[in-house]
Amino acid sequence: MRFARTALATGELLAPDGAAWQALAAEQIVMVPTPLRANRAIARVSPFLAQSTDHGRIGALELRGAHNGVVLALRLEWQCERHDRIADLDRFVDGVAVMFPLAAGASAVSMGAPGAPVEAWYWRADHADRVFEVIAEGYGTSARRAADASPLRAAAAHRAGRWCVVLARALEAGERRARLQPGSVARLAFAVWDGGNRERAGRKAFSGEFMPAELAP
Amino acid sequence: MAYAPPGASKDELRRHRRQLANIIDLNKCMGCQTCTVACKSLWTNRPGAEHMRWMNVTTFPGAGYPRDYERMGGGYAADGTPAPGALTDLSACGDALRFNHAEVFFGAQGAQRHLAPTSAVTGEAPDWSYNWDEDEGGGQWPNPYFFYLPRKCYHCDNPPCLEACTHNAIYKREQDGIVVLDQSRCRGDRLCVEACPYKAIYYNPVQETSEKCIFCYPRVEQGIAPACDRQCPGRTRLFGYLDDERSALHKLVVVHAVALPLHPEFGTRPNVFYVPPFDTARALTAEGALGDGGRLALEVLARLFGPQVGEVVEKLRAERAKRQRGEPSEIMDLLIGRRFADRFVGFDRAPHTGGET
Repeated sequence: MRFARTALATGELLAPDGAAWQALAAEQIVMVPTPLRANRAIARVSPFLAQSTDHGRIGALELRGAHNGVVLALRLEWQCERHDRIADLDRFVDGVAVMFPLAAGASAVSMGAPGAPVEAWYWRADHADRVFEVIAEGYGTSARRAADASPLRAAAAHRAGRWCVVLARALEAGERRARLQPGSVARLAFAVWDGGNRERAGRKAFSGEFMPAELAP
Repeated sequence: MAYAPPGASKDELRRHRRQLANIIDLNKCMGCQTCTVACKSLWTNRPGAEHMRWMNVTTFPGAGYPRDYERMGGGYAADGTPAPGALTDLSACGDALRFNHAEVFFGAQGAQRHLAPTSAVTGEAPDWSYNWDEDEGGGQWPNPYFFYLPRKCYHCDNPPCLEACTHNAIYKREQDGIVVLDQSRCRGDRLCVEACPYKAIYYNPVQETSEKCIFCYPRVEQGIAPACDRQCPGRTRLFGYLDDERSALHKLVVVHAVALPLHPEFGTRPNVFYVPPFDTARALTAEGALGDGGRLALEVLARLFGPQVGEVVEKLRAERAKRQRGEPSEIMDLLIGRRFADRFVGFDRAPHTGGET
């Protein structure tokens, strides 16, 4: 996986429908249901969640990524007939997340471990232009960072039964955040929630272990 | 407090030294909803909480509140494994009806326009709300029957909501066993709502978090009984520590064993106990003559309170007979509970002054 360098301005990158995105090669990310059923590590966090079946309905994400020397933008697109809204107490919304290791050896499957944290950019359809910055050190430990200091930006569109979500961050975002340097290799993993299928928390589809992605110099 | 970091074990979250509990005497509840209103005006008079009734009273038999909660799953199977449950929706939680007050009360339209609710779900006249089936009850003529069933969070010893929450937002307070939900940790995933077989947790779509009865802990910490208990005009409520040997609650639950949990088969070990209705109206024969026994079949009570209820009903009838003969009965005296101090041992301070009552 490779994220190209582009001459596009940050504003253009943040246009999910922008024609410029179509010029970039897309990567198909295979998504699979999280292994919740009879998973002892999950049962320790929530034995009720560990009984979950029929989740992880979204089978693929289409990923495009580019940076302009200032910002890295990731455009995620997937099939999702309905834009699910919290119209009632029993409804959930669509969402997508990109995860990065914050320590060498941190695992995406376990969402990190004590002393080996991971960071996620978590977007939800009911907060369309906002991204939550989430830190985790294992199942059940995810915590949101304060929104006011967030370097993350998002833009989203739902058209013709597909979600297009752009998540972006300044390449330079200080310490204790994922290192995103042109010419280096980042490691990423993905998760996606189908709100209409009551997907939230661990009920989701994910991409497995971290995969490498080279940021063009 | 058994307030443990995310990722800590559920045993740690459940740990508590003492347990506060309630008794509700179903023989005395008259369905006046004063407890419901006391709770509503104190805790859920906020945006996003319109549909919530942490304290509620419905007619039994009936759909209950939230509607059909008994058939929505949750809790634990007989072997202790978690039983999957369903979520409540706004309609089941009684809707958040809007009324045309302005139209009726202002603009001199009152003679033509009448008060009419609109459903927040459909935007039309509602076909269900809280207590929609009030007083319908069950049974066939000439022997219809019903009683009122007040319900709230049961502050269980084995709370499925606590087990279900992946963020460890729910825990039992170590000093008193009250089950609380930390709003700062809650992510609104509602696994707790699915897991609770009593459906005593409600989602707030404005705050995007779930909420529940807090046993009025800010009052309790000052020696004041919870609002629903204190405001009950029928003196149906007792409140106190289960292990406080001075308290009427301890005597009735532990010593005399005449108060039982609702649906013990859910496996959560609840801490609100009910004195079963033991003397509803006498049954009539088809000819209209007074028959033997009451209208409320023991099987109906056993379905709610478990097989022990027969023994409890017998004991209560025997104690009342003693009293009718002029003999003393500690159980009857405790159930009468004349003064706040009798019903709320250790928690009888007045809400407004904090003074003695």
